[in-house]
Amino acid sequence: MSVTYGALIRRATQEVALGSVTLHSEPPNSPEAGRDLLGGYHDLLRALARHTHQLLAPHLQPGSPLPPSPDRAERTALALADELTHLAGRRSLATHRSARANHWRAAALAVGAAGDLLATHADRSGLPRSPDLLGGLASRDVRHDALAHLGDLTATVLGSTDELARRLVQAGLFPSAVRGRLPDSITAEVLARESAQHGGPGIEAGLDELRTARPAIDRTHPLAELGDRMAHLRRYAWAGTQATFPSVDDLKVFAVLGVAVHTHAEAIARRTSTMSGDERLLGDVDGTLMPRSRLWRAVATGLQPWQTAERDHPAVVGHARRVRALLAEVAPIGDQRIGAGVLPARELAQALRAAVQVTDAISVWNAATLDGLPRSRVTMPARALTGDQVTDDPTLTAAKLANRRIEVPRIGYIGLRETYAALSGAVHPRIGLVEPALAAALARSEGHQGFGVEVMQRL
Amino acid sequence: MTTSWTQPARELASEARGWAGVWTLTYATGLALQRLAAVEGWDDDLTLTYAGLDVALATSELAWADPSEPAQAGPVDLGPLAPLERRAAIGAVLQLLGSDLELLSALVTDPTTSGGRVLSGTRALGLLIGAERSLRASWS
Repeated sequence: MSVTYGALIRRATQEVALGSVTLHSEPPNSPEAGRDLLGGYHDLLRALARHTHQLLAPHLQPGSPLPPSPDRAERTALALADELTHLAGRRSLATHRSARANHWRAAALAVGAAGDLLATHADRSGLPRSPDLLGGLASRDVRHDALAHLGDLTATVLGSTDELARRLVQAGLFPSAVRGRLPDSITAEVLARESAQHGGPGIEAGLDELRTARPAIDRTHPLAELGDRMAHLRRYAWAGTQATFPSVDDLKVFAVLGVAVHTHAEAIARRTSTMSGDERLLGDVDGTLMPRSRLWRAVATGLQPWQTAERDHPAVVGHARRVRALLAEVAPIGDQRIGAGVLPARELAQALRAAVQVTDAISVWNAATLDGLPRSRVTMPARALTGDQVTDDPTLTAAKLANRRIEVPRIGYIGLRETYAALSGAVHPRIGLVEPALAAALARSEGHQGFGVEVMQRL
Repeated sequence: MTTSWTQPARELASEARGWAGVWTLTYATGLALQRLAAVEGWDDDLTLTYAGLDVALATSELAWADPSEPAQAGPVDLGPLAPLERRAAIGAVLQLLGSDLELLSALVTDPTTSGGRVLSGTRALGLLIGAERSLRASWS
């Protein structure tokens, strides 16, 4: 029985899943095992890049008198292949291949074999050796489906990068060496997601714009990197307001970012409260930082039960995750040092002040995105609605009693909208003032133990 | 050490089957974490907030693979939580997460699972593993 292309890609998919499960259940236990695992991971990235080029090779696309110009989906796939080649780096001649099972290397072998199988259907001049080629790869739809699956596979592999880095350090590799061999993969993640869903609603950003993520981040200094990543997040928050189908997950990520920035800034502000001038962060810890931190937390809690069909934007998640790590490094919460032990207080204060200001801008755009969320059909458990919210609506009352999942009703947006308004400093629609709204919101959220949604809706 | 959440978490875990079971366990874990994070003074190091976000993103990955699943599975929360039970409550959440990871690992490595589900399930698995690790570090 001969092996099919589908069976080989299927095998690669299963090996990728086994790679993730094994990384958790049987992590590498020595530097040598760690290097072998890393080698398999890079082999897989190279194999995925090479396979993309094979799918789009002109000599495998007969029927066109001229080399076909790639369309958007194909350009995305080619950009992803370039990015994967960059991430994999040069193949190390010193890579030791142990006898221990390496599922990522097995996946790379399966992807490579699938490419070899394709190559047998045409000769080097582009003439088909089999009728299957004309019926298969000559069809742009068939190529797009294959590229979409490769994108999905790649997104899954890249999703293991953080865990792999952690396990490699635990296995005994130097953190600096691990960082060097596993560079920032946000651009590749964005392209992989775009590639995977080219047939459905895509990420609404131009390809050229997406590729700026890698070169525009200064990673030579943590405060510079913090500023660059916050600037990217600011831009993505604005882009969310333009999205036809916004994602509630992006709003959740921004809310947690708001909590993180304010909590770390609050910790530093308390430590620097005796300083003066530019070295002092903001001074108004109890009046500004802490209340806004709590409001961001209330937003996160209120959004938690909501879901849309639109997933998060990989760049939003990636930058926010990195910002969290940078904040822990430069402005540790439970540490009495000012930050990383060596950072000048004035520069740290400026960076945190700027980060806080970015979250203020983000809150304004997130509020606008919230208004567009109904286009994405947001659902929630009816149980999360309060009695007051359902009392005048028999349909909602029945849904709450039956514990059904429902589309978030208009009344469900009110509390969140008002909390965003309080965060961004907008005038409260009912009270007319910002601070009373803020104070009332906090007074009610303090000590609340129930559904977060209830916190929001009582504001 | 037990809490008002211990028994509901145990029952949820024992009843969970298949992809619907994974979705229910994941969703319940996300709600529970946000409730814990909202308690004053329980999340000073942000562990619960960060873990809650990872679990929320994992829930979306699972829903992406089969949008009908959330509609079929009833939303579940673990009921009221008495104060002064932080450690025990996190223990109950870890119990849920552990069952979730075990069930999901079995599903993504099952040869009969479709390719798309294997991939989205694997991405969800990665997020849940990260949440479990940070929670366990905060708990121990």
